[in-house]
Amino acid sequence: MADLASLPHRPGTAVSPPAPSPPTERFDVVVVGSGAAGLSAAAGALGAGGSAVVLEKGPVHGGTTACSGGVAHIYDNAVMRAGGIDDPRADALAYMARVAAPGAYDPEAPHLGLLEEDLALLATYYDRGKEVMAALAALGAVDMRAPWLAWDGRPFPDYYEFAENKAVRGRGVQALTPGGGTGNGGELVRQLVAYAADRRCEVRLGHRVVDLVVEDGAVAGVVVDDGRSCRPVRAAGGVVFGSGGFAHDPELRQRLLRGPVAGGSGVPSNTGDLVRIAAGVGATFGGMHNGWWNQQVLEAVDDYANSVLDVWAVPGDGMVMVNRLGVRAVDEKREYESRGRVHHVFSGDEYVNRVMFMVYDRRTAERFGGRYPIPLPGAVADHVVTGTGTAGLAEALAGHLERRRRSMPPGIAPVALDPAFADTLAATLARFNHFAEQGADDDFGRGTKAVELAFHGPPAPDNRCPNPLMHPIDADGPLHAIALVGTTFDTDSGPRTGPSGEVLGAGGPIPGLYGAGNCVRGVFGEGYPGGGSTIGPGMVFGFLAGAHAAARAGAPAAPRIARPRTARPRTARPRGRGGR
Amino acid sequence: MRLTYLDHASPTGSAGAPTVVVVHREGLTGAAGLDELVATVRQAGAGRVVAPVGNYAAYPSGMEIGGTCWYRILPGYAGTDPISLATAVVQLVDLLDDLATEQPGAGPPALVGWGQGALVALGAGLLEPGRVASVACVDAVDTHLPLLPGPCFDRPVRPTVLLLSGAVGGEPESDRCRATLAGRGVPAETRPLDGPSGLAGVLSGWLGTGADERLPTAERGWG
Repeated sequence: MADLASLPHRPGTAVSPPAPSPPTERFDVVVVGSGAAGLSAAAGALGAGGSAVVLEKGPVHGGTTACSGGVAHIYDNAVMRAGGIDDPRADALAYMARVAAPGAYDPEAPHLGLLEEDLALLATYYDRGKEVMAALAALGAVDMRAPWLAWDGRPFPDYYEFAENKAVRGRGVQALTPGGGTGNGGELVRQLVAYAADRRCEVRLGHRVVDLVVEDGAVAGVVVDDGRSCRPVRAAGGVVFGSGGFAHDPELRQRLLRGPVAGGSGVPSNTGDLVRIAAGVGATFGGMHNGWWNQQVLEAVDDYANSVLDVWAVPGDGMVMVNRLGVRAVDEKREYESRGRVHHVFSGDEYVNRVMFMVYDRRTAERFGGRYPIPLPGAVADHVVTGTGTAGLAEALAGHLERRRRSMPPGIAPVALDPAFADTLAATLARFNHFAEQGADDDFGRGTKAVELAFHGPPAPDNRCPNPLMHPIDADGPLHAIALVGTTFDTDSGPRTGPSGEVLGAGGPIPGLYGAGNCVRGVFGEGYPGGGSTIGPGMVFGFLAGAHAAARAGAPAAPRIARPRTARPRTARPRGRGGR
Repeated sequence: MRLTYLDHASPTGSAGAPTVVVVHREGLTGAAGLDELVATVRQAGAGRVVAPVGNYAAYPSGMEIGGTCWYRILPGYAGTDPISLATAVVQLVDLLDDLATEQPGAGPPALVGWGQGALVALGAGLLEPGRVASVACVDAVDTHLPLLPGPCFDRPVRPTVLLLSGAVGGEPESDRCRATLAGRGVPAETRPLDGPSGLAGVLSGWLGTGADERLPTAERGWG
């Protein structure tokens, strides 16, 4: 990746002068970033008896994890086992492989059609994920034994129901709170920070790592800029990056991602620091086009680029999503990843879906108002375009898009409606209404997957249609439209890593350099097998990397085992109303 | 993205009554929560009431942050995320700009915020004092004040600020907020809630509408 090595060192460039006579600090492990990956790395190092420090360049700790639900996607986890849910290894590996590399997956081929090292990482994830969760609980760092439940009280389903997936529900786990409740990402971060603090491991905010200290071909520390001075911090065992992807670096996005992508909904400090820094020490890279895809309201990207807003779940049953031609392109009720990907489809001569329009009628506006991005009924909303009938909507929407021509987000070309948009939309709505009446979406299978109902929430009480995720749309009355663009939670591409998070160079691991989470090539490749697919690998490989680096520093191998702070795991046994 | 908002026109016969922007508390789950705030300021004599909705959305699928909020909270952390708080402040300032553009002759509105909304209202008032008539903060959290955007405290002009508690007994927090603001050169007034007319009465006095003198006793409380 010579292209990467030639990148200007912009985000990593020190802005503060070197410290005059820096008293060099020394730790066994230096961790960069304070999200789930970084804090788990610190826990791994501390649990192995090492010393550690966490350097966070942002103004608060927690990274994107603290903005999230704090779910980790863990196979054969303790909650599943307690609830009697089997998650056989061979099937789970096949599921992960099919999701990670859908174009290469072949159940009859060696390594299931994947590169051998990629399948090996998936196997490591299956085997070690539950072990790491148990270790974190035993250490007293965090107990991830709260099942991630949907609104109906059932374990949240995975995002794909392939035949290989023998455990569609139960892999999502969250932190147990001290009171036995379920914690979100902020709570996960709080517990991990508290664990670090109890062991005198500082999380230093506003500390930007700008370079590596390299000695005899091994990484021996970092150069950190705290805004006042720039100085080295030594790491006897290694440096673990958990510093996030590059969703907020427009240059890296445009160089590396394919298709129109309008930034990310993670924290603004996700600017790809490791990509630039690792390129300078000979790291090899993989999956540089991968991200955790999502959708965002066009106006949200444009006006407030660092917002955490995203269209994580699409509200409404009488609602479709169409492109500039007026044609549906996706099952609108699927999870964010599948919807986000549709913006990348190159059809004919253009990215015809680069802007999609969520179209709904007055009934849906009233029933689902207040669930973002549909505003409360009667609200004044700049991002909602309204017209009467398809012709009226087309006219209003065309004017709206024309006004926005000069203020599109970076990386998204202006879009204009096809001249036949109104007529095509009318036909699309008529076809959708027929599907709603018959209860089956013959085009995209809307409402056939458990995850759709989980994201949709309770069906509208007035929907008497056979499929609660569809309701006929009144095409002659007021119609509303919201423009959506493709975005990411963050990217998950960067240096290739080994089973303990070691960053790989051309000749093998680069001694002393580790990475985990969204700053490295993601173990799940192109896919997103289920909720928690970002945080899970970050925690697992972060913990393993921290422990590995601590051992490399000569820390005692046996971790101090504390009593778990919480009692029995909550069961993941399905309950509540029946599934689909 | 511009804030979405509900716009309640002045009731008939209330010409000249002040326009009030109500900034809701964290945890909003529907229009009913806004209606309650609108009713309170209406009791206090407000005319037009504009009620924006925060941009931190709630979802029904296990990722809730307890309803719609204005900015991010980190458990176990004394402060908050200054980036999301700054974003919310800027969004509210944009709304005030829109209101001023829409009715150039009208006077600036008063801001009344609750909880997180109090911080956001205060931030907007400090950042653009010419855009507001006054700012009333109900249940502001002292530890969040220092994380308001720096430019909020750089302005040569200050808005008039009222700090009060939404419930009897919360006055010490208001006093802490007043001390913190005073340390940053921002004068603020506190008023007790223990009078017979409740929050609406206090706000009425603050807005200068005299509505507290007309409030029936049964409507004076703050539920």
